[in-house]
Amino acid sequence: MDKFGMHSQTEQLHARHIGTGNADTTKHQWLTNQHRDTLSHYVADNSMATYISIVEGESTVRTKFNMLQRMRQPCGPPPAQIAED
Amino acid sequence: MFLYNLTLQPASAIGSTVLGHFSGEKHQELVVARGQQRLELWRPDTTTGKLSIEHSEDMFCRIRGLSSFRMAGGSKDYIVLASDSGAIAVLEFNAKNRRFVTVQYHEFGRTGLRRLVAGQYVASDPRGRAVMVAGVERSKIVYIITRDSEARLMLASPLEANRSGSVCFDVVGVDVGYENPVFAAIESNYEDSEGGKQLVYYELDLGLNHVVRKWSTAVGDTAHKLVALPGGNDGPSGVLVCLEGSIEYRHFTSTGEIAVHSVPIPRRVNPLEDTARGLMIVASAVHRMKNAFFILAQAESGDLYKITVDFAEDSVKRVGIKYFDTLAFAASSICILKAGFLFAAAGGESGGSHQLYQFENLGDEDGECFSTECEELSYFQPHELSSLALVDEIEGACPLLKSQVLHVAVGEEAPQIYAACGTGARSSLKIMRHGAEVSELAVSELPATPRAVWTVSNGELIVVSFAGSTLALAMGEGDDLAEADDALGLALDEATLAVCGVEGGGIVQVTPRAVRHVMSDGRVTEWAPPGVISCAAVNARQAVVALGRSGECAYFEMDSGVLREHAERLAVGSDVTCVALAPIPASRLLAPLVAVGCEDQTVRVHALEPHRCLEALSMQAVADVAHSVALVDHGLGDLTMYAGLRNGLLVRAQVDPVSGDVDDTRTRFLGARPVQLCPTTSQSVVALSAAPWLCHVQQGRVRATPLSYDMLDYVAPLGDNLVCVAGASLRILSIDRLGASAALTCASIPLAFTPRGFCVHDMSRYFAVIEAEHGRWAPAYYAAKLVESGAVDNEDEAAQALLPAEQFGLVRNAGGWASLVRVLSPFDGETVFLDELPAGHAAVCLAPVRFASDPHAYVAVGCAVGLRLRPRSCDAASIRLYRWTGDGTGLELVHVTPLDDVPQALLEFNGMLLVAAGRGLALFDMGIRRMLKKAQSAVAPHLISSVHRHPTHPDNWLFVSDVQESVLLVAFNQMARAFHVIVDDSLPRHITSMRALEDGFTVVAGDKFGSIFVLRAPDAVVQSLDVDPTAARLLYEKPKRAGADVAAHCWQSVAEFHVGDIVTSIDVCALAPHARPVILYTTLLGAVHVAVPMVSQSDVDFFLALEAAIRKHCPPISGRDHLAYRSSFMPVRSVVDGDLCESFYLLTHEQRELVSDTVDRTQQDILKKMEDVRSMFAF
Repeated sequence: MDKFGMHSQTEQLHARHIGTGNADTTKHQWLTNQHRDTLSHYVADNSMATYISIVEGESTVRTKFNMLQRMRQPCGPPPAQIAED
Repeated sequence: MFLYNLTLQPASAIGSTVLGHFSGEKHQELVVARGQQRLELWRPDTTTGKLSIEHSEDMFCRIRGLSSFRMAGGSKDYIVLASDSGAIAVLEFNAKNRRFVTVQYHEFGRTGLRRLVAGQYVASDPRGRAVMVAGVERSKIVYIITRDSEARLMLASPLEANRSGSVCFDVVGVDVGYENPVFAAIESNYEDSEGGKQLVYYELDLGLNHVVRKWSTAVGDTAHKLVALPGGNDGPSGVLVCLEGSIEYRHFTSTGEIAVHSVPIPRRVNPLEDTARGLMIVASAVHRMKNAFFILAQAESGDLYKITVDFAEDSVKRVGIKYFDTLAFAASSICILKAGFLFAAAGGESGGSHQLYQFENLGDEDGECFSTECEELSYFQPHELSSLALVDEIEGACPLLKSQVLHVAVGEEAPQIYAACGTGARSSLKIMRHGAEVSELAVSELPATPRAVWTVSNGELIVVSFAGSTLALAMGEGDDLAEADDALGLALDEATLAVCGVEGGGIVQVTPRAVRHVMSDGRVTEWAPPGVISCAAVNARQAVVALGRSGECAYFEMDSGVLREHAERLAVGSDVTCVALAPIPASRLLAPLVAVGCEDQTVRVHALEPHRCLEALSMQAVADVAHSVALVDHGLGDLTMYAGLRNGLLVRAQVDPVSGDVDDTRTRFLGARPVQLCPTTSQSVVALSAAPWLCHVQQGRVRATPLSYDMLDYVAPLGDNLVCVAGASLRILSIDRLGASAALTCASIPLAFTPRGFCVHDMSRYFAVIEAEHGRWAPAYYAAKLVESGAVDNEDEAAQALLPAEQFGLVRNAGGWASLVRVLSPFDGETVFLDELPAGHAAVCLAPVRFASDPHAYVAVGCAVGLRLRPRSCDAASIRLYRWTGDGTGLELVHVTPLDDVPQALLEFNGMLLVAAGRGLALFDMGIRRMLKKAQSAVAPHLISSVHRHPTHPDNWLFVSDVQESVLLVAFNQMARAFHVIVDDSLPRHITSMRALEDGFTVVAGDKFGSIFVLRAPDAVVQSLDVDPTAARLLYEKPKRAGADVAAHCWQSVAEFHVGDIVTSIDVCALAPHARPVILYTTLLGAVHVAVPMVSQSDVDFFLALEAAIRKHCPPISGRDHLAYRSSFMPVRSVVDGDLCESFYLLTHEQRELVSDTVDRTQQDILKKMEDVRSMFAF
């Protein structure tokens, strides 16, 4: 079936470029990925981190730390798999 | 519309700092990344304790990390720049050309602030053998630093140590001596089942040329920072892992893992503290001494801790920590200089000034040292600075939360920028104006009004000339000025026209009736003129005196210690009003040129060289009679001639020192007074008119900067300072830091909490300010709470327990709010009214309002009680209405109107108060016991962030901005009492500030991602609204776009530009009395920019061509593609980056040639064009 080794290439590309979805991507995975992108942008952008720190009344270091902590599971643990019939 | 974007004041916040010897000289220097975009080199002067900004350069990228390294055997430190360019750049400071130069540049990924592309962290091996660049997630790249055959620095090809799913918290280079380089990282892998945090050692095997994950160990979940300890012969090596509330020592050697030493961080005594919340270390610095080292670490509260490590032969015995001192803010980074100074850089939210401290002791005597053996939390009472003394600070306006451009100060022609800055107890209202800061060192009154002042023989003698007499003053003991005992033979019964110390130790004094040469042995020779001398110029070897009403000048030269008149007279042909001698070139004995200002509105240049003495070289016609003239050498190749005219104009021209040709004339209006020019020694001239101006060179360009000081009559140099006469007084002034970049000076009025908004009373010009602080106690409530909780017995004790907030900050109170409303005078900074809101109240917004039904002026303050941020909610909300009393010098609370939702923004509309809360707008009219709701509609898709008055139809229309969905043009239907959206946007834009332009259909707005853009209503809307201001027709038009709740028309984007920093306020103003209006905007990190509207198409074409040429031939050294950077979120449109154009000043001659050839203009043309834009619109 896989005449030109296309599948293996696609898989490799998927592994390299996180967030490239496929038919099986769940809502949770997609959302988690979005949140991680957003949070890492907040960490990298001093202006944005300062903006958030001022609103929260925290130091920028703590704000950035909180963002990084949240990156691990930004939308909570994945929902339990529903067995497909 | 076409805009030219210029930075007036770069951002002040420092993101990262590195310390090293970047010029390759003996003293240490700092390289700082300011506002994430600008790289600056600062030099702390260890003898005077002053910080000076040596060089400042825009990188046109987001600087995310800085690191420095020194190669083995080198004497110079290199800078590693990690940015959003997807590349690593190794920079060097070229001390000769005074600029940063790229040494190595290596691309490894895509551009932008991306999660998976390295660039967030950068760490170098302490021995300068390798550098690691890491991303927020996954990527880690190691470069080996080598030298090529010609001993130039090279980066070997990158080695990857990627690990998918791992979030990186910090990276440092571990000092392992000359073993294989090791980098330590705190990582957390979300793909693992446990997902705990680990400390990981990455070893670069230099022999095998690969990177291995050598060791990893679990650390606490709050680990956030690493500090590398000295290794090799200097220390035990290894790292300190900073966790919330404790510090751990960790290390791994070839012999195996080394025992963990953990020590809790001592905490401040606070009976109401939340013990669950740990202390975070925000910055640290390692100081190495002979055979010893210590670490200073700073916590969020500003407290500094001294950490000591006792070790013996690679094994750590004990880690000790003790409270050291308290700084007023949490620094973004701290550095310890070898000469005994501590530099603390203020970052984003802590803001304010960057400070340099001197160590007075190392805190060894006092204070308890807690060490590894302690298990329980230990407490200390913070004290005033005892080991450190503040020696210098560099003022900054970060974070700049709101600003307005206003004409408030009396007697100032230019407007001032009033900015609400800072957070917590470091908040202030800053008044920024164009100019250099001047500090007054001494003032002494004189018996009469003097005309001029000079200094002789290195400032030992100050000569003051009055209308008919002269006074010689000397510096007495303790810097007191006293009449000199020995006037050195000067004639004191006549006015003086010029005086100067000459060769051989004598003095030449020119009075109206004589040229007197006082020799060092006291003999005096006098030369009497045929008439009266009108003006004169003297230097160490030459003198030129103009003979009144004859059109002639006599020329004198020193000849073997005697002043001899030249055989011929200098015949000018018109009455001479002023003369000036050129500075003597370094290798010559005589000044080559003299400039003579004449009554016939010309300035003439004559040669003074022996072979063509007094030969006329050139003539420059000027707009009025020259009042004074000066020749200076700015070090730009040619001489620069300044002519101050009687009508207040200052003319600047370049004079060729050989041919005497005058060209490249520029004119500038200084004020309605004849311009007096006074050369000061260091390549600069002070021009005195309605205000004093300093003409000097700054990074290759000549600048005129006003001095923030009173009107002066005459100035002379006195060492590094200036001695001046103003009215009947003599003053000694010093010009504080003429920074490499800043053009604005700040005066600041301290505030108590984070300012959230301010407005001005029309008549009294007093400011009403609202301040609110989240998560902190107001001092009074904290004291009351202490008594209540039983921690102290009575209120007096509670008051004593309170620490001054300016130094120690406010006390934390999770989830609490403290707010106040204040009225202050901008003239003396005095608070005349203060209303502290009850605990839990948050003042959110305010607006001045006048009701149609009531003659008084009011200030409405929107408040929320128990405001929670995530999710956004509150217990109660209200509008507090205050009435101005006493002609606008005080406020009184009239009544409080409850609301359902948090008021976001307020505005006077239709003689009523418009309240924006949530998605809706509501209109309130004045009532007796509360305000009465008259209309209500939901207009915005998510949440209204601000409302803005319409400039032409304030009763019918208004602008509303949404936090996510851009700007809306809203019409008010008087009959139905409802608001309708007429124009909305097709793009989501997270608006932070906006401003409507005068035409009423154009809005300038800034968003959260650091872009600024201009939106314009389509022609169809403009035409329709012209005919029918009620917008009844537009309301029923069908939208052509799909989607629910979309308006029939949407904005057209006119201009887009990525600033790189969140825009907090936008204003339209003219910056000088005769300048044209510009769009002035301020950003969160403290920058002030202007966007200048271009007038002619030829200018647009020229600047587009110049920008393109510079982009092509001299791209920014960070390696970021300029066009891509300015188009970070939206493609740049109709905006030229003036900062890139002005980088032309910093280019080398060859680069300039290349650029000027490409745009087909001469270099002078280009420079003139850029300067014209500045002088026409800004400064």
